[in-house]
Amino acid sequence: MISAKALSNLLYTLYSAPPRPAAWNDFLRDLCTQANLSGAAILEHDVEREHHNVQYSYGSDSEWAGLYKEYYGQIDEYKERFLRTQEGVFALGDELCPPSKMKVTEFYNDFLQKYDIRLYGAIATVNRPNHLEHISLYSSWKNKRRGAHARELGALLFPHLKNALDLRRKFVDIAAVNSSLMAGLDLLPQGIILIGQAGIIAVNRAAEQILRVHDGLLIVGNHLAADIPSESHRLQNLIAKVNQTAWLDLSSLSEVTLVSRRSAAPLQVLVVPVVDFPADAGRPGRAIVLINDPQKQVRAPANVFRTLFGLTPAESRVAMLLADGYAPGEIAETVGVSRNTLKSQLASIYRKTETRRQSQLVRLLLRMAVLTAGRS
Amino acid sequence: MVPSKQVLPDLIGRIYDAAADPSLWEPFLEQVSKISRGTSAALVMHHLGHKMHTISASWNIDPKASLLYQQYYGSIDVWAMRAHGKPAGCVCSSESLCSPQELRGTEFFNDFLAWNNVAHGTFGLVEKNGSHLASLSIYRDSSSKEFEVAALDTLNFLIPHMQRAFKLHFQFSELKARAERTETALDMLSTGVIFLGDKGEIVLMNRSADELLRRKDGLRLEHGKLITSLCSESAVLQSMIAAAAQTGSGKGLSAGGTMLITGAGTE
Repeated sequence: MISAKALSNLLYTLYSAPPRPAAWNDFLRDLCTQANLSGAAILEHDVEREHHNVQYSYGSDSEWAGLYKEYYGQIDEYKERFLRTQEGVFALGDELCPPSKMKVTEFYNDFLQKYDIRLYGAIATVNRPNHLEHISLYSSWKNKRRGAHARELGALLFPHLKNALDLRRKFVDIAAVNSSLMAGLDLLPQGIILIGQAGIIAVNRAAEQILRVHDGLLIVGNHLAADIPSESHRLQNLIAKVNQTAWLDLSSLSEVTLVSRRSAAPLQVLVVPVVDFPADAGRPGRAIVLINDPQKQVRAPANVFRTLFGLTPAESRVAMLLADGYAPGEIAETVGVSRNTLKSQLASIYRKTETRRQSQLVRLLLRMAVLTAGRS
Repeated sequence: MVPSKQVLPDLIGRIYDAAADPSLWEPFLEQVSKISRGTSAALVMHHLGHKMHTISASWNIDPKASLLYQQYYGSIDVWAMRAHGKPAGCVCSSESLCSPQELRGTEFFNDFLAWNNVAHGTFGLVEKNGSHLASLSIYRDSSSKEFEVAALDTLNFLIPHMQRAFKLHFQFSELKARAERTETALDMLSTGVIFLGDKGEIVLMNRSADELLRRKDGLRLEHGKLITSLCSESAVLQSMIAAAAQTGSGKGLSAGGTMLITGAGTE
C-alpha cells in the first residue's frame, strides 16, 4: 500500500509537470516505482485523423514511441478495446485483450514483443468521440513481476491526472497564443518592447535589430537604458511613471522621448501603459515601449509593389524613387528617360495604383511596409 | 494527525483547484482547519514594503475582524513579524514564535486576538519573497490547547503543494498577462492582423482587423473564415492561407504572399 507521504510526493511531482514537459517523465518514473511496474506512458489518439501520439513515456526504448506514432498506434489492439471504456475506470490489459488473443496479432508480434511491452492497465483521462487520452502502465512479457496496487493508485490519482493534463493543455495553448502574437509583432517595422514587473519580457524583431547595434538604446540588467545618462534617466523615469499609471489604473496616458545615437538621427520612443489586466495577474509594472527609427526605410519592396499593382519593372523603379523623395527631374536623369516618357510612366503608375499624386503614392508604399517588414 | 490516504488526495486536489478559482479557498480552509482541530483559518498576505496586510481568504473569521486586521492590526501582528524571519516552506506554531507570556503583553493580543477569541496559531509559510510573505494560518480559540506536533505535520504535508499551486497559478497568470500585453500592442496598430488556425479558421485578430471585417467591404468573415467579395480573389486568398498554414505546421515551403482585395463597392 502506498503511504500518505509517498502519495503526497507523487502528487507533487505530477503537479510540477504541466508547465515543464521534462517533469512528466519524473512523474511516470515515480509512478512506476510505486506501482512496481517497468514502464508508463501518456498517449493521445485522434481517431478520425489516425494520429496516435506518445506524449510522454518512461521505461522503454525511446524508439518505440516514434514507431507507435508512425504506424503501430493504428493497429493497437488495446486501444480499440480501450475506446469502449469510461473515463476514470482502470482497465487491466489482460482483460482488455487476453494474452492468447493478443499473441496472434501483428501488433504483438512486430511491436509489443520486440520492445517487451505488456499493458498492465490503463486509465482514460479523456474519452470522447475521436479523442482518447490515457495513461498506460506496462509490465513485461518475460518478467512475471506484477504491478502492486496499480488499480488503487489509478483511482487515487485519476482526478489529479485529469487536472494536471488539463492544466498542461492550458499551458500549451497559452504558449501557442504567445508565440503567434509575437510572430505578429515581429512582422511590424516599429520596434516593440513589452515591459513587465521585473523588466523586459519580450522584444520584437525590429526592436532586437535596434538594440543589437548598441547605438543609443541599450539593455542593462533586463531594463531599458540609453547611452547618454540624462536620456537614460528620463527613459527610466517615463517607464516608472507609466508603470505607476498602470498600477493606479489611469488609462491612456503615454509619454514620448528621444534617444540620441552616435551614427544616426535620434530614435523616437513612446512609452504606453497597459491597463485592464485581470486582477489575478495583480502586479504593478506593465508598459509597452514603441520605438521608431526615422532613418529606417519603411516602404514595400519593389517586387511586392510590382506584383500587387501589375507595374512594369521600369514603372516599379520610378515608383520606388518617388517614394524615396526624388523629384521627377532627378528620376528622369537617374533612370535615363525623357521627361515625356517619365510623364507617361507616372500616369500609368497613378492609374494602376489608384493614386493621383506623389504624396498619395508615398503614403501607399509606407502603409504597405507593414506587410513586408518582417520578411525584409 | 497526518490526513489519511483517502482524505489527503482530496485535500491536495482542493489546493490546486483553489489556486485556479479563489472562491474555493474557503472550503479548503474549513477542511484543513477541521482536520487540524482548529477553530478558524485564513490565507494571509503581507506586503511589508507596501505596509499591506491582506486576508485573501478565510474560514470562520468575522469579516469585521478581517477588515480591522487589514486596516491596522496586520501591521502589529507579532506572529507575522517573527514568521518573516523564517524560510519559505517552514511550518511553525504561535508559541515557537512568541511565548504566551510575551504575547499577552502585546497590543495585538489585547486589542485584537483576545477580542476575536484567538489564542493559538499554526502557520505554514507558503511564499516569502523579499518583503512579501504569504501564510496559511490556522487558529484555535482560548478553550483549546496549543497546536501539537501532529497538527503541524498536516501543514508540513500541505505547504509544498500550496507552494506548487501558487507557482503554477503565477506562471499561468504571467503567460496570460504576456499574451494580453502583446494583444494590446497589436491593438494599437492601424494595420489589421489576423491569426489563423491550420484549417484557415480565425484564432484571434487585433482591433484594426476587427473593425475592417465589421465594415464588410471586400473582406469579411463567413463561418469563421476569411472571404472576399470576389470569388476569384477568395480562391487566391484561401489557397495562400492554406499554403501558409502548411508551412506553419512544417509540411510546406510557401513563404505566404501578398494580394489586393477589391472593395465591395468597387466590384
